[in-house]
Amino acid sequence: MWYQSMNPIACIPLRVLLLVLTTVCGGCAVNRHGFVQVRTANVPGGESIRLRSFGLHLVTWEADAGFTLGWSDRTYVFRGETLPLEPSVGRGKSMERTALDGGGASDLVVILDRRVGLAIDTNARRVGMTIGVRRSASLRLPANFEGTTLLLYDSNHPEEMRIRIKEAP
Amino acid sequence: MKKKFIVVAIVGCAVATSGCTATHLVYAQNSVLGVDVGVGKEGTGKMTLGFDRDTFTIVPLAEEVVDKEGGKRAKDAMSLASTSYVKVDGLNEIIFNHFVATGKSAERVAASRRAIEDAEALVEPTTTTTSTTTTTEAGALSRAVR
Repeated sequence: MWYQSMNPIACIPLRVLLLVLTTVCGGCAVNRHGFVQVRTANVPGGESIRLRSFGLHLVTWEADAGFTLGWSDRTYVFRGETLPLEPSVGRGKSMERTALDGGGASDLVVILDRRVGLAIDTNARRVGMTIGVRRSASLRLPANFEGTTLLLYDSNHPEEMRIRIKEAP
Repeated sequence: MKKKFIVVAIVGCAVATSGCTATHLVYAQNSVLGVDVGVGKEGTGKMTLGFDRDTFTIVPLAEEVVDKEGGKRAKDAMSLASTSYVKVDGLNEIIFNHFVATGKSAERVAASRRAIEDAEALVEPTTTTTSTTTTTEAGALSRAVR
């Protein structure tokens, strides 16, 4: 092939160009805006929002800040009926406002994400970098929480996810 | 020079975050394939090359309590009773079921063997996918968390 005869160092700009082209072709997204598929749903006991993107996805919410160059699939679950049911745009804004409260947002209880490519995390939970595939799931409750929580999640049946939180009086 | 800077930056992040106390009770499951470097409040700082998978819980410290002997103030872990069912298959499939009771509810659940068994049955996947009645606590557990 023609590129095999090239100097490896000289190939670096070509690789960078391919990376940039992939990003441009895939698209860019910031939080829930841009080239990202957003799905909000009611789950028994809470509300969920799922963001799927391909390309560059920048997240600025404190609880999950960072960016992904590649493919990402993130799901956030909030407890209770904290978000207005209609319209869907309003729900998203409420979610964003809640998420912006960040690591201290007591309503954000579950974060599920799967990312492929280059991922950099700079959030309240983790500072780090991944090249490859990373999948994580976490249930998070405030340190001063008193009561019971039930979370049932199966990645094969995400629509059957249930979360129930009962705070002690 | 650049390598030195990267090392200093990583060590700096580790030092900056290692002294932090957990602000949340966390149940986590992470799987990585590739290269991963990270530090943070949730989990330990580490570098991974290849495949790695970890499942862990972080229990934050409760409020300060007075030590009876010396009168000193000390921090203790929060009261917690939980049952979990986590099943991971590769990087695609995961079952992530948890029942968590904290505070007085945890003390009541821990005091009743029947309640613990009920909590275990609650997170078993065979009992969770059929009907809505399966997600309501059975008798002993219901009484314990009331």
